[in-house]
Amino acid sequence: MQVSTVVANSRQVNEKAASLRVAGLFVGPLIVGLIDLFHPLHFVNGKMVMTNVAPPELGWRIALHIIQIPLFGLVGLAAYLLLADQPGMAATIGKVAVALFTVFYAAFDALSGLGTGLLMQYAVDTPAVQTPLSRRQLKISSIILSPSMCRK
Amino acid sequence: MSEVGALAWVVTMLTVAAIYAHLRVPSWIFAVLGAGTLVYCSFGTNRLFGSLVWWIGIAAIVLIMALTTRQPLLTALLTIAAIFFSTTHEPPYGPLAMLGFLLAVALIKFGGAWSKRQPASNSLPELRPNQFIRVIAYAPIGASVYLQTEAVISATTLRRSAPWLYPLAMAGVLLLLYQQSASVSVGAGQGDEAALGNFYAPQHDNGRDYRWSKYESNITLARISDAEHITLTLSGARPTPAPPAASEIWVDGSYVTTISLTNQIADYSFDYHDLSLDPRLTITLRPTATFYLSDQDYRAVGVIYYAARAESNAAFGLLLPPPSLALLWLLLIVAVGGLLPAAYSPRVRFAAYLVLPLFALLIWIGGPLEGLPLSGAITLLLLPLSAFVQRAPLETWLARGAGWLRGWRIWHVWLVHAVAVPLFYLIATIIFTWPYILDLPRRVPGWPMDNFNFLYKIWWVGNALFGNPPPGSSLTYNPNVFYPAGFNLAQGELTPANTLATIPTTAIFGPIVSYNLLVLLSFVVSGWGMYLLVRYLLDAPPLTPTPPRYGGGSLGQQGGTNPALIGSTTQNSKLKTQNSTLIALLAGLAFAFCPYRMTQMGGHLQMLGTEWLPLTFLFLEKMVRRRRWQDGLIGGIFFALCCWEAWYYAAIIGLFVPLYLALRWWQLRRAGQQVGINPAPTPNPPIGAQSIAPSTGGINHAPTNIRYPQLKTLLAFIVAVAIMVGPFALPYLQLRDTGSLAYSEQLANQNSAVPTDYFLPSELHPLWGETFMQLHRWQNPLEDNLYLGVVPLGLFGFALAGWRRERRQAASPLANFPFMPYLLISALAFVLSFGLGFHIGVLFDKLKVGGSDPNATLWLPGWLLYKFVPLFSAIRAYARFGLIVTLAVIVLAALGLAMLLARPRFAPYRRLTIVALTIVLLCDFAANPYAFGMSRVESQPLDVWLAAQVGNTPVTMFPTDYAQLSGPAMWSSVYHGKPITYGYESFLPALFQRPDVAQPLASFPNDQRVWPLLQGWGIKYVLVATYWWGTGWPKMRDQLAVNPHLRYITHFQERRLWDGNVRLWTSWPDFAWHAQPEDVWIYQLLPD
Repeated sequence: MQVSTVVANSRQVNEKAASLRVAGLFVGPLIVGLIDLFHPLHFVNGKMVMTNVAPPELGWRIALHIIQIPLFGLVGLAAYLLLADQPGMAATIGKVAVALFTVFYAAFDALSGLGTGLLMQYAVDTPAVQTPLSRRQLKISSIILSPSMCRK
Repeated sequence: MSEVGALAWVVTMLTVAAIYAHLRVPSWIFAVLGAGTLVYCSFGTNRLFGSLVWWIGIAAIVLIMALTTRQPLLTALLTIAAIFFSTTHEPPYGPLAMLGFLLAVALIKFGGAWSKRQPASNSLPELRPNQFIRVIAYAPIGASVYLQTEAVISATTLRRSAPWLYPLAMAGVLLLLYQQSASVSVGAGQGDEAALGNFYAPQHDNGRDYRWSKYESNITLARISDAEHITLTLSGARPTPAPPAASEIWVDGSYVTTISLTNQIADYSFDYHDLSLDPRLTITLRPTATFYLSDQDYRAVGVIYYAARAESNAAFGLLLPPPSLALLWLLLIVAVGGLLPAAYSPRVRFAAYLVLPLFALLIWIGGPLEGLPLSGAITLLLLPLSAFVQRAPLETWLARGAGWLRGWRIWHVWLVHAVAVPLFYLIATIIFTWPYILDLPRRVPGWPMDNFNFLYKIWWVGNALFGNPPPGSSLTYNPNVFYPAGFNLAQGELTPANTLATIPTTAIFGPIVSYNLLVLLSFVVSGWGMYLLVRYLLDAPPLTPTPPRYGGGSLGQQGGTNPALIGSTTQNSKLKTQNSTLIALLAGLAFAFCPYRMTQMGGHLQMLGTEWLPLTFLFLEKMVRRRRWQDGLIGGIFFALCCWEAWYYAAIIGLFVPLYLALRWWQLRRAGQQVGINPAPTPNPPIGAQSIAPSTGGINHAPTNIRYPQLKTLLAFIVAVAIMVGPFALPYLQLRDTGSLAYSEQLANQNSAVPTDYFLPSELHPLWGETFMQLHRWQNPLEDNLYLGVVPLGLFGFALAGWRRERRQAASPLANFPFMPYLLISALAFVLSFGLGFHIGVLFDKLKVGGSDPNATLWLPGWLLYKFVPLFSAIRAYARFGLIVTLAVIVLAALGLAMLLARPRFAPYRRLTIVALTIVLLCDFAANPYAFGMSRVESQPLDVWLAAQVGNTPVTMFPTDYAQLSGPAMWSSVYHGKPITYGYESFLPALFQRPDVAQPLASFPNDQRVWPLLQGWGIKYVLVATYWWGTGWPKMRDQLAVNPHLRYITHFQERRLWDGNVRLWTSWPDFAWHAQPEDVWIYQLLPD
């Protein structure tokens, strides 16, 4: 193989990697931003609400939180790409934080979202006399498992 | 754990901002602000989420973070992404966060930051390697702060674990933080003036700045650890061949080593370790000799200084913070910890949220600690531990400890009062004055002046009794000082409480140890006395209506206490002040270590004898409550001991004793009449008396008969005072006939206080003392440091505000507290401390507002005392009335604290509040290292020379202004044993006040009358102290060289006795002549 070919291939590979990197920077956050526009609301004007939910919404809730698991990974990847080539302790801290974010944020959001969704499903299917207990469980699930700092 | 992901996201975003947006501020500031951001978001999200306030806070945070970097837009976007996505990813927050993140990425990628990133040089422009570890610390600290406060405020599952887990984790992080190798250095250039003291102006040679030292020069570095490795770059160059230069090295007033210098520039290193509270490390160069660079250069120079560097040095493998920082942590932790209980109230919870991060930010940005390396740890530890401090575990522990103490007290009451409490104050004294306890045989506190006078008196009394006193001497008279008049110790303070009490210790250990033991014991007994006083006042049975016995009068009798004024036993047993023991302990600490006493420690041994004052007031109270003649007798003894300490106290306290007795007798009599208590028991109840007033519940408005018991008590008091004080008053009465023992009005007024003295923080404080020392610079440094302290003042204010309501509560155990007498006493003493006339202009000068006539004088009650009341004309410092103010304010502060703790909402925090107040008080009153320094007690070369001279011929010293104002000069006679024509005392003997003697001596050598005078006294050696003459000394030296009456013999350079802070000279230049070692020239007086 000619040297020039190697260089050209290498350049192509590098360009491809650079393109992927740019994609990695934007795709994950973009999708998460868009999809979160349709995230079921727990907060209205800053107040936590647990209104009656209809079955279709429950399905979307569960689906959303399944979809978000890899998407949060992509958001983490975007952050990681910003830090990947950076040397020094600060970048290392950032990389460790990205790892923690990717694991814990995604995990607990999934647990919270799925758990809440399933509980809501349970509440919908449960006789009225047992509903208060389910609602309390719902709230506890949101409080304990939510990855956000938004606890009540 | 569920929040780990959210926290990690914030850390990620802020790290990206730090890397790409190029920090404008030091990295630690950015990190702390980041942590603050996290805290605010957490709190805000929980409590204020979505509200207008929340949005305003977010906007402010974004703005602040943006301003910390050179690319504010990028930082703002990343901060928005951090805040919103960590809060929740629901709309609109999640999408907005992602929008911010995408825009930030776009800026980085397409705005140039991406392409410009240079891993080696551009990635972290402000972060230095040893600061990275801080960045690690900040994020968990933010989390910790959040979790801690949240755990305290709300009932969550973290509540149990977090208080222990996070402080421990943070302690580990902090310890890790301190393992970095920090260092500070100071050069010799133009910009280093602030850290250099008493050097000559900078010079430049061979590319380096340097400065010549003087006979003593000092370099101030920030103290960065508890152990330092110090390197000095010096040169001992000399213009001509000379012996190798050498210099003593002192650190913080303590001798460390002597180094021999070469002519070359070289580094000299040594290790230093101590537990000083001073945040500064003062290195003092004391060259063993100075010289002149040339005939034209009149600078007496020592060695050449180039640079100084201090590095933290690991002790036991760990770097520990300096004590000053540790103390501040504690102070601030407690201060913030005190805020947290308020956070339980929903009304002020929001304020608490804001106060916590703001407090941290204020410390960082505006505090005086900015210049201290590693001071960041203050904030790091502050907030998480604040939650810990006020948490249940500590309180539980305290409660358990107190419970144990209670059980113990039941069986060993006397042990607690007589052993445990004094032991507590002894330990407190040792710690508070550390390392004074190590100096007992060697040094005395303060610069060399009055302390040597008292040292001399202690020595003299021991010598007069058991030594070899000269003929004609007595216990109070030494013919060899102020020769030929002799030294009557009554020319000043006889202070028998000090001189007589130490006869045994002087005989065994010598006068220096005796002196220092007196100082230490004064702290212990002062604290103990105040403890007993406050405890008695708080626990004394209240005056309450009682069921009738024998008809009209009620005679509830209880355990040997006042049979007349004790009410119903059943009711009173429930009326007990909560935590009176701890309150009394706190009051004792406040009194023992108050700035007045700490200042007087600098040399006024007699004024330090305040221990009998609270005991006197204790028995005054007992006298009026119990009316037993034994109480009068003991009270009289304690008052006599006050007089034995100082005549000042005889006058000052003596003024208030009758006032207090009169007020209390009147008050209790009135109270007794109101509640129907007839103090005079009726041994045989009249038949049918029960029917007289059964329906009044024991209330009886019949006049009381209390004259006889009071008279007996008072008589016992007077007899005790007369017997004890009388003999020691006789020498003074004799002296009054022979000479004046009074000060002029001007002098008497000179050392008076101004109102601000009570409120300006202590000039002795290791951190801010120098600042306030500047405000006292026109006053006497030993007289006007009357600061009352933020804790006593605050509690005093509380007592003032709440007393009216408290008094009206019939069930209050404090209803009979002598509030009004102490208030009146404090007010009167407050006014009297201003002296004879109040120079209004002085106050304005002090406050630096100007515009007032400095001569405007408002005549005060002190003038009447001075004119018409015996003893008061002999008072030089009316500011000493401040002691009474201090005592009264502390007593009323104890009342205020008792009232405060009686409130139900304080029930869970009583002990904790006392502990917190104690820590704040001690931090406020801190005086370590002692700003007035220590003085070594040792002989000088001159003393050795004089001792070696044959014969017992008298010695004189000039100028008399120096000789008669130098304690060490008088003390030197202990070593050489020659009679001296000078001495150091409040009043001069009558002989030396006569114009025909005083004037020739003062005009030496120009007044020709001095020569026959000296010859008539048989003087052989004339000593001339040169420093006093200042720049006029060469001329005087030449004049004395040709004087036909004198023959030069030799001269001696004395060693410096004072180990203190030369920065004092800035405030009081007069210190210099006390601190400077004298160069004494010796002449022989020739016969005509």
